[in-house]
Amino acid sequence: MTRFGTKSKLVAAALGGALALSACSGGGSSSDDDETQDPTTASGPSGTIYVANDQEYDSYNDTTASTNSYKNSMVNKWVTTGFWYFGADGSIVRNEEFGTFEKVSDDPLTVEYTIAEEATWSDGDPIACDDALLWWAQNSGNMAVEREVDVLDPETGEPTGEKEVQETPVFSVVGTDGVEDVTTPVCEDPAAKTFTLVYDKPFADWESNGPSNGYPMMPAHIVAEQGGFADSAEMSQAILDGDAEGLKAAGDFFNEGWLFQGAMPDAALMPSSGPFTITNFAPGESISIGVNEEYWGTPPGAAEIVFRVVPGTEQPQALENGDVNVIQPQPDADIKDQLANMEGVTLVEFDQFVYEHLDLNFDSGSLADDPRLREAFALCVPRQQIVERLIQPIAAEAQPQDVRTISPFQAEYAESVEYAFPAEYAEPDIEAARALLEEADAVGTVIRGGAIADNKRREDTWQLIKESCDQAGFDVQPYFEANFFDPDGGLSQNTYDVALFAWLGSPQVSGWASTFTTPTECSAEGKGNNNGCYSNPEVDDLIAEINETVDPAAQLPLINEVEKILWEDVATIPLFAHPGLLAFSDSVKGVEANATQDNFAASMHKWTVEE
Amino acid sequence: MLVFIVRRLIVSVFVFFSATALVYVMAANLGDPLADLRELPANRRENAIAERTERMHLDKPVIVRYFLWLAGAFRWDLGTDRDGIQINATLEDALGATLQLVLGATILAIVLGVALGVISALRQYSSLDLTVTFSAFVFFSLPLFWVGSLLKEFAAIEFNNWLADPTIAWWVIALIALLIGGFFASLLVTDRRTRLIAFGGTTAATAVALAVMSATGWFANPGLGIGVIALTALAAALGFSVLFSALEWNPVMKSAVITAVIGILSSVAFRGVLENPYPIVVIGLLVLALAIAAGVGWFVGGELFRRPAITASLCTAVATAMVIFMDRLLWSFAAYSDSVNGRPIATIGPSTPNYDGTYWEHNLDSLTHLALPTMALVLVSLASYSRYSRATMLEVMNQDYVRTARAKGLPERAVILRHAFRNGLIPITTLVAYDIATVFGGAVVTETVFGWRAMGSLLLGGIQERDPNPIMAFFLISGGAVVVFNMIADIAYAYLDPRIRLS
Amino acid sequence: MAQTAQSAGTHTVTPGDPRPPADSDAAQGLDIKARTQSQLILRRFLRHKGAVAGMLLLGFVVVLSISSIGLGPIPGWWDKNYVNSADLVNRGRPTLSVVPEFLGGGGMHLGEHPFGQDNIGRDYFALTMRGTQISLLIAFITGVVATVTGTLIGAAAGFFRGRLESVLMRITDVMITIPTILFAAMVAVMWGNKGVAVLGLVLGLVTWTQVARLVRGEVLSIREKEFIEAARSVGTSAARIIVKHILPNVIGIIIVSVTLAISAAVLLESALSFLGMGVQPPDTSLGRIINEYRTAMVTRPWLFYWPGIFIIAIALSVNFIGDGLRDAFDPRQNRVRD
Repeated sequence: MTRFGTKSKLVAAALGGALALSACSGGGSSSDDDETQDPTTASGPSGTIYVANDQEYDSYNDTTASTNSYKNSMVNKWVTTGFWYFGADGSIVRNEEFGTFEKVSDDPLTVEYTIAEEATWSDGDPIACDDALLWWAQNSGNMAVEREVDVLDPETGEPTGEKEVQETPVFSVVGTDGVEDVTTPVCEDPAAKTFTLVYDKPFADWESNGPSNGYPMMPAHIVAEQGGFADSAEMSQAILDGDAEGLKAAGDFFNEGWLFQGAMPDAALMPSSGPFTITNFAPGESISIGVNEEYWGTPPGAAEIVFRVVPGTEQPQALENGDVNVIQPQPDADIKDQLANMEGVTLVEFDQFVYEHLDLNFDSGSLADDPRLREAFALCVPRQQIVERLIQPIAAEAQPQDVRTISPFQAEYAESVEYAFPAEYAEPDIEAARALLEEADAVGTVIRGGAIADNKRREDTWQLIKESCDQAGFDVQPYFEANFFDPDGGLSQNTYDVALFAWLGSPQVSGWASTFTTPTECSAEGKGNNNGCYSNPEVDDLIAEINETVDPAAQLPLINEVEKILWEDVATIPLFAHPGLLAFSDSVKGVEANATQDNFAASMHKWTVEE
Repeated sequence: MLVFIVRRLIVSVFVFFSATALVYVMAANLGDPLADLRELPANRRENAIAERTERMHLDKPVIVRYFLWLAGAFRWDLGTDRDGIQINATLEDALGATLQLVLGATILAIVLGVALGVISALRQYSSLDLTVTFSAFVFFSLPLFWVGSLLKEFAAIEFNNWLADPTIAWWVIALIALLIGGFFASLLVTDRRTRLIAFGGTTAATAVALAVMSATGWFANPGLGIGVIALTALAAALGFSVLFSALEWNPVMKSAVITAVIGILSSVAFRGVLENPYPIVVIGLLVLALAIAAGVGWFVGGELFRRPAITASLCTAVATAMVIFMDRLLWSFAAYSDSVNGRPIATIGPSTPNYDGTYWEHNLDSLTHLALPTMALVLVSLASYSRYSRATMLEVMNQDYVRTARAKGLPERAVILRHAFRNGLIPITTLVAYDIATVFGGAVVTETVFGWRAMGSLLLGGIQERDPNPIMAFFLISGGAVVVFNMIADIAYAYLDPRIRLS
Repeated sequence: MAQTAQSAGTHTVTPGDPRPPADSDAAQGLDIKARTQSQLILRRFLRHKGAVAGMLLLGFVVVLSISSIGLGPIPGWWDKNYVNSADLVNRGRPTLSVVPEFLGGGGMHLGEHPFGQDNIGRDYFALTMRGTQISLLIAFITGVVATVTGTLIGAAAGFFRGRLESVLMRITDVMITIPTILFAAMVAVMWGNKGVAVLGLVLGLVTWTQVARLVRGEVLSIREKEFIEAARSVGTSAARIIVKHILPNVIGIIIVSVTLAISAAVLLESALSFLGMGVQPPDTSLGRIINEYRTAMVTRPWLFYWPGIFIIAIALSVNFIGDGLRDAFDPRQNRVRD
């Protein structure tokens, strides 16, 4: 599915940048139900837990294009809930307290959602079809108004003087994949407790496509009231009628009305649909959530969770001094050592759903034309040494990642590696690489190795590759640009031979399909995520097939086949899964590391604190 | 004078407008504000880019955008950032936080810096001067974030650990006592014997005090007690009356001592009121104290000594009030420390979120959060004030009029205070006024290290996100402060140095 | 206060001054020699112990950084470079030892990696030396550009009347209005990737206002002095008044400014690096190195302290040199007269 499944250039997320929330899910894995066995104490919620957030929270509605980021969804995860969320290993965990869903038909693909009977917003309004209709109106993107905008020059970003009519969605949306294929209204009666998504064509990632914790349904009755409707039934009717103009005021509120403009919006506008509710906001300092007394399900373990704004590098010291209790700092060997030596602090090392890799330029790169050169390069990249020097100090057990689309901690990984990974690439073989280069009469081939500036680990990685591959007869020339990922930067303009950056790992096809599919046009705009403009018809066919495969288990053999071809072509070279660090005070229990961007927030409702 | 000010004002306004245009054009050309969105997958990219393009008016030329911004700024509407958050609201909070952060630190740095500079100028080439000079240079040479990290490690984490069992090792006591003794001894320029006595006395007194404090666990549960309050108040009375008059039992000293005694008595009388007062009560009490002090000065001073008596009484009253305030704060320290799990010194943010406590505990909460950033800011900005005022004082002290003043037999106190220091103040005033701008600059790094969201985060966020509006908000305030303070400096310069013509 | 102030006064007139000009030839009535102004300045400078120590320290740092790893194509005496990785020896701890064996230390030797190694085994001594070179270069360029520009504009703005004054004043005013950190961060983002020389230059071009404001203030005050009026009344040209009468009187403040500007440039560059806007790779600088290894303060302190020590050494020595120069140029401030 769109907003979580799509793999965006990960850089930004890896650097803690402002990239929108883009995690990914373990398609293939079954949905296990640990939600039912909640370790709630008899005494009820108690105590305050302080959490470090390196950016400031700014919206109750984290589902719009500009607010959909980690800083918001982390807080909202258990304030506005939905049918599912990502578990620790990226699998889909169903939140059955909120409701249930099941696939009722394969052709057309139909999924029925049932909201729990007692589910109400904390202001007493039942959670029902009116909220689902609003969610559908937003995520299908079919409510749009037209407006005139200047045409921008794609190169310079300056206006060209021409005008064009553009459609703007009434309700700002992160992405419309999946739901845009649901053209039939999901329900008719605003008060109904069930709704149905009927897909016009098969959609592989249907399971992670409904409203979720962190990407929930927003309260339609509030939007209706603020948008000038008498009640939410009237707004539901407007949605069913497709009255985009009539919904404009509602849309304006939806997009901007929940922003924290230096102060908390009226609490009455922000009802909760989960165990927590927003209680307090101190601009620039903190946001607090407390127990939602009206919640119908299991109450949370802690009485209050306070998210304090703390810059990433300052978090370890803040944890040591007790200013915060839970941190997830940038993975770094020194931070890890520091945390490991702290008294009263638990440190968890885990793998993130993010992998570092080398992207080869098939369009204009020096390795583009001769497969022997790419093989030689794959032979000389010291993957093991890179992991030993740069990653093992952070995660002692780390090993190179041998396939791209499945992460080492996933069950399917071993099988996939067994099938797809050529054993000769496990250790660098300088002799063999040199022999290949000599055979191709290409000793001295220059490799321009690009990466984003100001990333120590990437600079070090290139240095290690250079030392190894120069011995094999390449001339590796690393370069680092601050605008490497910008439209005028190296990655878009294809001025690199090999680029080093990270992808969000995702076994969901819609997540990585475009990365390996032949692009329509090899230009900054046209190539999408396939930066090197890699093209292989066989891969294209396989990906198209996976895309239509609704059964997760049937996807795996096809994925393995794709991986095998990608290695044969040396399309990209995966290096390692990003290690993650999570640390918390010993007094806090129940904190779980999570491989996805949902991070520890997924376990927040179960946290408890000793006082 | 008025004409000068008005002319200066008009010029400043034009200068400021040109500066806003310059900054805006630069800020708009920092790079591509849509860069992060272009990273998004195609289906999400279009919406997000369209939304931000409209919000930031990227479809219009830079000049048009500038005038749009300017038109808004005239109505005090600074627009929104690229994610739609209104800058006005952000700015209000940020400005409040920055003022809180830098105001105390700046005043402290100026007072300490100028005092150290003047003292080391008066004691040129003494060991005190050399020490001050050397440490000023060392502090001046420290990168702020480097100091910040060290302070957090040692002044917060280690200090809090130590507070759990606050005893001081004997050699630390000895070291601190020797340092303090050495400092006081070097303030005096007399013969070797007196100095040695001063050194020995101070050292011994400090050592005994520290040993007692350490043994009784004073640091975990501090307080001053009526004895210390009384001693300090009387000492202040004595000091101020000497400063404003002379060391003799004249009406000035009488009124100061009476004020001090009233202060000491009222500290006992108002104990109940001060248990958990409203802030307005505290301010009211201070005003009352000042009124009483002025009255005492008026009546006791008589015709002849009225002015110095009132001044000395007022100063004594302020000093006594401060000691009493300090005492109350310290009494609450143990309770406060308990309420934050025994870790009073914080490493981040301006306050404990959702803190609930008495007036004193709230004040302590702010103070313990301000302690580290203030220390860092004072340490690194002290040097420029102390170096500059030392140089200025040295220059002034060698002027002919100072020599003349001495030659006509004025007491050295009058020479320094009336002739040397006042003239030395002229360039220092200018430096201070100009420095307001750097104060904002220094705070950018401090904020980041200590996890405050203030003006600096507007600037950094704006620059990193290539978003002109937050940058302009930062500039509007910091640049505006520069303009205003430059004007004040020029006027003060003209006022203090009549040789400068206003025409 | 009063007590101490009084004794200070007596100090100047006490005949038994603790530091009599004993080495003054003239005082002893022997061998009277005429000295030029520059000889006097040099003598006074050399008598300032702090300045001489600063000179030696700065010289040591400069020579060490250039001779050890060489400059450009010229190789230095140190056999490792700041680029290549190596296996970590003893977790990369420094091998430098300065405590002799008979005192229970490890003997006096540099060892394989005197300053230790970073996480991929790079020689930290070579890296620190490279950072020192670049930081010195930036600081020097910035300091000189800022001082020259600032002095010219400040002096002219302080002295001239009429159109030139207003134009210069307005330009300065506009520049002064923009806080240094804002200006510096913006130009660093725009031009920081064009190399260290460019970075130094643009930083100089935005920091001259501090020099200009001091020089202008001083010139404003001197302009009103009697000797200027006298010079003007006999028809001395403006240029001559500036060069001959005003500049010598503001030289002290210019010298102080240039030293402050250089040490401030070291710190400005490190602050920009901290904020992620300073020198860009493959170049490095002390500020950048500290930032890269800032998290190592507790676990691998040598990565945190070495570059810090060199920053402090540079800033400290430059400041002491400035102090000595000011005393030498401006004997009015010295109690001890020649």
